[in-house]
Amino acid sequence: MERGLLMLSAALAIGVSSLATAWAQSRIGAAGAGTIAEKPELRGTVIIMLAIPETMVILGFVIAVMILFRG
Amino acid sequence: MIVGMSKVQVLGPRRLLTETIQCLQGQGVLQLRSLPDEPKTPNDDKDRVKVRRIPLVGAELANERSLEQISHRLHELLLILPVPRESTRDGGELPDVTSAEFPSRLEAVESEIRALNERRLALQEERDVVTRYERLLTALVPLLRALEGTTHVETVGILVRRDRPEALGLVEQEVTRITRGAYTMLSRDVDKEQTGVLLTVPKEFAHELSRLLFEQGITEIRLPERYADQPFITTLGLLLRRSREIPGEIAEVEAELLRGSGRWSEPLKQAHRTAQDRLARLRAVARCGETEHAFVISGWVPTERCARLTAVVEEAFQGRVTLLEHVIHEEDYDAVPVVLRNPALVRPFELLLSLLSPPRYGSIDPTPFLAGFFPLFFGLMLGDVGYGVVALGLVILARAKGWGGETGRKVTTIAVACSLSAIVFGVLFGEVFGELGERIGIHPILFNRAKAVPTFLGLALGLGGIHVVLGVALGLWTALRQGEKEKALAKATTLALILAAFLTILARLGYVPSALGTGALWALGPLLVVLIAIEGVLAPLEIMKTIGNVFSYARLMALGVASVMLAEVANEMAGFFPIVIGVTVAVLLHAVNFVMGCFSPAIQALRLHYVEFFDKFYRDGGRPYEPFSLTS
Repeated sequence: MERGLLMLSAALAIGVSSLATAWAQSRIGAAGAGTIAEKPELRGTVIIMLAIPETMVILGFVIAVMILFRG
Repeated sequence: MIVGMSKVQVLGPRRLLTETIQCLQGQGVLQLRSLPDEPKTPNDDKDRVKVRRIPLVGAELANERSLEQISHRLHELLLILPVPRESTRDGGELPDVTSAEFPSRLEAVESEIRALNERRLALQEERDVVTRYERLLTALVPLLRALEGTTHVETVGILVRRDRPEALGLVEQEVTRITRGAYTMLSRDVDKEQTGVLLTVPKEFAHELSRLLFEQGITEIRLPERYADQPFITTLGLLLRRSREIPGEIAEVEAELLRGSGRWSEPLKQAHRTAQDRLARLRAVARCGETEHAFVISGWVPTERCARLTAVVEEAFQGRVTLLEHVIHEEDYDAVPVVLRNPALVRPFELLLSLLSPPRYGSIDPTPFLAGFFPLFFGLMLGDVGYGVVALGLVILARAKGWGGETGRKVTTIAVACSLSAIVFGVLFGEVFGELGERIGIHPILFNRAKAVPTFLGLALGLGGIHVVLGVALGLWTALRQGEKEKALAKATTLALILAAFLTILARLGYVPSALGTGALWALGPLLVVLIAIEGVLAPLEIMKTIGNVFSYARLMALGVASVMLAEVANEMAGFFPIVIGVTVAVLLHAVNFVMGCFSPAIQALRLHYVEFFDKFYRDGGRPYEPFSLTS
């Protein structure tokens, strides 16, 4: 039972953070594509903006790993 | 490294301005700086001579307009002409662009080339139209023969979907009703989806038939507009004939254009260059200043080239024109153009910096750090001998084929460094296409990434800590160099805070003596107070952001583990199926993992630099160096 809960927690940690990242990136990606179409010189800024929400899923992954390895 | 620049002023008598500008253009090292519209000199400062901007007037403005037009026309002609196989100079001579006879000569050449181009475009358009109808024509030709010789009738072509055979019956029923049986209907399959139908009806029913087809939503074959006045059958025949003739006619026109290109390309290019250079000189004049008798040209020159430029000006004008070199003050930094210079192996990494605005003059060029850390992070994430070797092979192939020109060369140099890094880390982690390395006797030297995840996380965060601390240290150095004492103190305090936090963590993990950790822990409070005193109440948030930046390097571990896990899945899949299918599936999965494994680490490594590292010291807003030079 406890093992199952640990697994579920790890899955939630990675799953929810993935959804959050995906949602944020979809918004930024759409806006970024429009930005690059109008101002190609801003592509560097757009790449940065697009990569920023990935921190959420990375940290979610780290938490999941810590749950699995320490649990 | 950012190359040192000098602020220079070239002074001389007004009558020597044109020659001086020509001389400076020939040297191609001075970036011109426009004189402000309004002189800064206060009106009450009567002792100072007012320098005003040289306006382009009358003939000069007309000359500028004329050169602009000529340059534009020449550019368009050069775009039309194909690349010549060899340049022949039989009759291909053009006079100087400013001479009186140039416009008439250009017009003659232009009309010759444009006429050929228009003919080619018309033929290509006709070919496209005919090609669109070709499939249809091929299907309907046998039916046309059956209709030969018919007069006083109208033939209409329609397309009917083959998956709706009942439509044809319905059409026939309606046509019978309209024409009272006076019609001919021939059909033939055009392709897998459509059947072509030729309906021949007496002319008086043609209008009603068209209306019926429109109402029923049946596609009537619309032939090109230029054949609109021709009967349908005649048009189909003409189109068929043209489809055979057009390729030969296009080839003939293209051969003629190629001959024209051989004759005119070089003279046109030369004339275009001359027009561009003259235009640049004319515009340069408008950026200079003048007094009643003298001129002044302001600009920027790389310091190392200043002495040579001074000598050239001195020699050319025998001391009548002088070049003055001034010290660049910090308030000028925003206007100073930036030239980056790095060793040959580091230079390609400037490409990664080009996604951002160039560094501001007087700040740090981060290219050498990019060259060091980018392949390191990439290798840590991909970390597989197999993938590294495949990547290296592809890079060598791309380089040998010369793909992408100069940019391609830079990209492949970066890719070679990344591939080698992936191979080295692959050896350290004992990975060859995942755990296949284990099976052929390659064992991890550092650790197994799939099993020692916490250790890998520690390594990633440690590297992140080093990278962020380096960033803060570079920020401190920049602030010190630019005399920003408060900023320097804040950076030094942040640095001390991060180091104290690291020492505390290391002491807790038992890597350093606990006494040192306790001391560091006690230092955290006072350091935080100092930071708040310097930067205000938002300083703790900045510290949290910096700590968050370090944690962001956990992505090195996350992507690395994801890569090795995917490789393992690919290997295990091979065992689930019969050998041939299993190997195919495994190769496909490895290919997917390889593509993801190359793309994702590149983006992530770039992001770690742009967001986490550059944020600590990078000052953008530099102006690119665009010297006033000859087009050639």
